[in-house]
Amino acid sequence: MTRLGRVYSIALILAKSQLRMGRSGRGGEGIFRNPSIVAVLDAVCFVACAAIGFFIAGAILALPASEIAPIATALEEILVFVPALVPSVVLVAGVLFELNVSSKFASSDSINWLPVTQFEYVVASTLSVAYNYSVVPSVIMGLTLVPAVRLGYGATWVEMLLLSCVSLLYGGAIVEILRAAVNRVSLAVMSRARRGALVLRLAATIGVILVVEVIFNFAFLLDIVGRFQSALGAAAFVPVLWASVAVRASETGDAVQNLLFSVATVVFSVAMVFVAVKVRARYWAPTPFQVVVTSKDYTPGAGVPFGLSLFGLSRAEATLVRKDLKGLTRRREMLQYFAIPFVLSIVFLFQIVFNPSLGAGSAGASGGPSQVRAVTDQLPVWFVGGLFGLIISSISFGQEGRSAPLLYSLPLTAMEVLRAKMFTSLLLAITATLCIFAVVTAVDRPPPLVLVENLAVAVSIAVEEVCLGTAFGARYPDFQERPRPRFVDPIGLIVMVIVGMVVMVVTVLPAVLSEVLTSFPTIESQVQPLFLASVAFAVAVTGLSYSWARRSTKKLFVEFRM
Amino acid sequence: MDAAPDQQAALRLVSLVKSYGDIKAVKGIDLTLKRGEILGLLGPNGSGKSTTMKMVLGILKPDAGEVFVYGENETTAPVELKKKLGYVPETPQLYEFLTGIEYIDFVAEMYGVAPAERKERVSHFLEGMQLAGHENEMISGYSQGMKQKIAIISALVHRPQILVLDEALNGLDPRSAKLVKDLLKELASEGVSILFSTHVLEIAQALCDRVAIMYQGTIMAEGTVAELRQKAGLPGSSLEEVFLKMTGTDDIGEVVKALSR
Repeated sequence: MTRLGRVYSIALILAKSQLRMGRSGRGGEGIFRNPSIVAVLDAVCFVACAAIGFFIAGAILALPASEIAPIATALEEILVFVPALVPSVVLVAGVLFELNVSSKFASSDSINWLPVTQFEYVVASTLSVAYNYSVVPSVIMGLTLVPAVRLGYGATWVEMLLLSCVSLLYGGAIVEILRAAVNRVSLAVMSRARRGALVLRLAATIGVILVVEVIFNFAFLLDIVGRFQSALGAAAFVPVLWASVAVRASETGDAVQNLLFSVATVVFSVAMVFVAVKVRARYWAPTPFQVVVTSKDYTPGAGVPFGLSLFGLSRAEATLVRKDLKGLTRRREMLQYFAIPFVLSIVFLFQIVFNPSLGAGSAGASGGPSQVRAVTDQLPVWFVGGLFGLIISSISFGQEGRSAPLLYSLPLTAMEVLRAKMFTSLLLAITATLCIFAVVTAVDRPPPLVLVENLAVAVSIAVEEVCLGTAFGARYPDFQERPRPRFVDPIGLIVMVIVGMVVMVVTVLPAVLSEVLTSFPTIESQVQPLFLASVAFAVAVTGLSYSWARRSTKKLFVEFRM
Repeated sequence: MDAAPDQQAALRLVSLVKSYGDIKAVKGIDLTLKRGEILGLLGPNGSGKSTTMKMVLGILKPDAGEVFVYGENETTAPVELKKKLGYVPETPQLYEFLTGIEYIDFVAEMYGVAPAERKERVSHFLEGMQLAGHENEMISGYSQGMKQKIAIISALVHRPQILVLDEALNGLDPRSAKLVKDLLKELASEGVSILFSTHVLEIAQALCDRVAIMYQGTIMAEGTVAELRQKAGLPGSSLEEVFLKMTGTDDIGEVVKALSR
């Protein structure tokens, strides 16, 4: 078999496994059994989106000429930034779906002992990643085709199409680099093999995820670039924006710059593939590491560990809490959940830092803008702990996976398990809330009364969301172990997120009103207690959710079904 | 249904039924495990052995029938009765993110084993099973045999009165397998009752006081090996021959010929 043939065969196998990964035990059946479904899906999406684009173009052209001009400019911008958007999307998807494969599945990589070169494997893997996410450019291409042609940007659209395909490729290559880098991080810290190493791996892996999310976020890049020069002028120094520069040159008729940056994009893509090959060849370790957590002699603990008896937990409950906390920090597939408060905090803090109208120090002397900023700054405090609590509690039952029968065979009651699960989630959610609260408070320095109000609402939200998440987690657990375990049934997850968000918004509404209306001195004293309505609502939701969680857990413990 | 406690019975299954959808996995079996007895549960794949064991442990709820542990219906005080049981599953699914010692400690804590007692017992087990020196490694890095050893230690750490072992010797090296077999005999002599399922009939023949042959969800025969030989009309033959005859799978010779062509 030729080298090309081997690359094709490997890419086909990888595409199949990526497609079937995360699906149920019937992954080998149904429409996802064959990778050609991706091409069919691409074609269908392209045609459907082109049809939508056709109607959009018709609507645009029906407008007066004066109104078409700004729309045409907006379309120009879209065409310019699509090639930068594509690898960004592939990267985010790669981080979410490719790198979080549980260690059990990641380590069973038979490709390591087959007669395949690193180059062949990396090229094949890059192609399969790019292929599996090709639906993203298909949708964008479809939507923009007809408006571009009808508004006179046909040639630019073709160039955008070609460069987006190249961008898709280097997006896949960067996922490969990241895969090897994460592996390297694991190797570096795990070979040290101590408890500290586990914490270091957790921090390092979250760090890698955060850096990738930030560095390859094109909006962030442009924001940084814009601080030095005009956006695309500075973009010449950022390789991931070269394709965009080429498309912009095509629009302005600058053939030299167009050719230069198009070639540079292709060279950059090829370079990324070679870097990926080198990184993998150097750092990839195909076998799992033998992790020695401690060298101390075994000393069985006496009494309730961690002083958890202070919270009324029994010995068995506290042991379950300790086990779950260890799992959260040691399991690779759990790291994404642990990264949630960090990612959410950064998203919110970006908004505060990079949005001049909301940024620190922008508050005027008048009450209005100051109050708006106070509310905006409170968003991370209110929502980070809530969202984190909702998600972390929802996976608390499903994350037991195939070990769940053990809980049934041990002398534990359903209520003991529920209390332990809920306590773990509360501990994490409230800790995250308090951390972000401390940061925002240090920046904003609100008056003591406002500080107490905000804290009360934030903790109330964290508690209500944990109860809600636990109830959904107990009602819709998914114990199946897959390369990408779900922990919660997808339907349950969707309903939970919607309900959780609605509940959070309703909870904060009185508090937001209280914050905003206090800028009017005449009613300040009357609206101040409105935050109590937020707390009262949260208490009600907490009670109802806890009651549902109890029923669901008892029902769950009648019989174990996988 | 006679649910009167039998003074000699550690475990009694009465008319147990379990279905998975249209498939009847267990069809109303009755079985008694006496105190200090090793009862072998034999049967081909899919005969209902594991389902029966899971019902004994409360992992599965019977569609009908009852399980009595020392005369008490398991549904009346499941948590208390579980403290008397130890279980080794066919394929142990352990918490891979814990170290071997952390896992054993976790299980011991759940059973309420006192720290001093735990330390001594666990140390002996680790030495005996040749796991000493590996106890602080993560389970995810263990071989199948090492995981099996951890599961066996976890099942024994609280000195259960009844042991339920589902293919417990799978994956063990010869030394450890011999050690476990001798240990089981010793435990039985001390009064521990053992329900033991295996596919290896030589082990069953050597280890079990009585044997129950399960086939298609029912108990085909039950008794000592000698009694089963008599029932099968095969005096002086091995348990394997008895088993094959009773389960109607004694036409293996024809299959082997066909496969070797």
